[in-house]
Amino acid sequence: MTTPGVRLTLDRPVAHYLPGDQLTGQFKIEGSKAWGVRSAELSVLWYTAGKGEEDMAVHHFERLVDDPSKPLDLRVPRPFAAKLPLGPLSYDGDIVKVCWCVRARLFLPHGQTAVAETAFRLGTVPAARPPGQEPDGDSLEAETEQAANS
Amino acid sequence: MPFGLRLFVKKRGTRRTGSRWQAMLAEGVVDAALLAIGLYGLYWLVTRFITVEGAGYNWWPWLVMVIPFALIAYGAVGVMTLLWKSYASTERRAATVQKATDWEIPGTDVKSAYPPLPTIPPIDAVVDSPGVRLAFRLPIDAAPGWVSATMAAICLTWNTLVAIFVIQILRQHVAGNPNWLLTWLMVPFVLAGLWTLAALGRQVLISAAIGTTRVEVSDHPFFPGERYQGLVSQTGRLHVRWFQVQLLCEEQAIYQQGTDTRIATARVYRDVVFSQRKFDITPGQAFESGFEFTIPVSAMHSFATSHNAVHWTLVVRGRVRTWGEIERRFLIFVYPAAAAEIPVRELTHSFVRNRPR
Repeated sequence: MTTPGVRLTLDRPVAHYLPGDQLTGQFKIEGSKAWGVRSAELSVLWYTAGKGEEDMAVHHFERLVDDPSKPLDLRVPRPFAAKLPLGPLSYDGDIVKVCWCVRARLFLPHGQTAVAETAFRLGTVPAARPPGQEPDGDSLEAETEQAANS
Repeated sequence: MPFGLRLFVKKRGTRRTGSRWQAMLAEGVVDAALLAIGLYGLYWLVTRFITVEGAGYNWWPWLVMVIPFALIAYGAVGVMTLLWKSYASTERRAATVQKATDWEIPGTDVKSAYPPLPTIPPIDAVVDSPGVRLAFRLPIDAAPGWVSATMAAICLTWNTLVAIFVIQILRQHVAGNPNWLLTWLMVPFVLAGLWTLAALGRQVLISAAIGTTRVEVSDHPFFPGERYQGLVSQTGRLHVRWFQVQLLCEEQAIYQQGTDTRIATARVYRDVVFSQRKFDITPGQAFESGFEFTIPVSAMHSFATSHNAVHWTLVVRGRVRTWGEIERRFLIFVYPAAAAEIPVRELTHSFVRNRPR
């Protein structure tokens, strides 16, 4: 059984935001088929990647439910907006990375789900190590000794 | 992965030894069984002891009821958690947790003098100790203290057990009935005990001889791109070969490797903010020196979650004659630059200005 494609777009052409900025965008089902979506969730969240176990937290959460009095038709684009927090800022470290994204999750009949995700950067913290620069192999002790003797 | 239960297998790497639904099913069965046992136990206690008239039981059936209640609570919470996990998405669960943590419990003072920033550790505990020369005295990282305490506990336990055996063996010798096999078997255990005593003695001597390291800073929290003053003080009787204060940024990741929990660290920034070579410290006159340091403009702020962290530290390192290398760590907190514009920071500054310098 197939699931619908979900289009999730941010209003800014460059997905780069500063703390306190307003994040706006919209999401919709691709195509003209109704699909009978039971509910939909829109989250603005951050998660960690890298060597450690994943940590995540949701900053903004919206849940839309299909109701007879208010049918959920996601063929019509659904706008969303969220004020971004002061942190954590996006970070690309050696073994710890902090990634921000907007995620739309659609709950379909028969327990099926469809998910779409769009990443964005929060803040201006550059990568801990520029691309191509490998971590130095010297231990802190060796470096300290060298620095102290120089 | 072949179907089947593998109960006694040492799991290595990050692979699973079973499918996710198998784990959830097993967890559900165990929780439901605990709940059922608890309910039956409670029913049994009530019908056999509590409600029987003239049975002569006084307080103990009521005390024993703790056991079924504990099973009911554990099983019910487990079943409900499992149902909630299978019913709600990861994001919805996280949002619910977030909402729950935002609640203020009546009667508790949860307000901090500093801006509430998610994942950025609060600095209240760091700034509650005023310095002598500068605004704040940094608390020392407690890890070396824990090393000494652990060593003392191991030393005490090991040597107590060894002493019990040695006394028994000596009694046999005094009674003229020596067991030479047991006597010789005890030798390595006694030597190991002596080694733990020597190691503990050396640790205590190092702590006493090296003395106290004190680091004070002019401000807290720190913000990227700003320059701060610091002061380092070292007591003891030491012939110092070299002595440095370093500003470090380290990433820390906690991960599961099989059934083991491991911690990985990576240093992403290091700056020597103070360095001096070949000088003596005498008991009557502590070494004291000021220094300045700048948090880099591109710095990542302090970050701490359950499994990942970015720590900023002022590390005092050196090499002294007789005792070798010393290292003392002082955790500091770097906040995002945007947090500096929060009016609360004014509070921090007025607080600092009122402190003796």
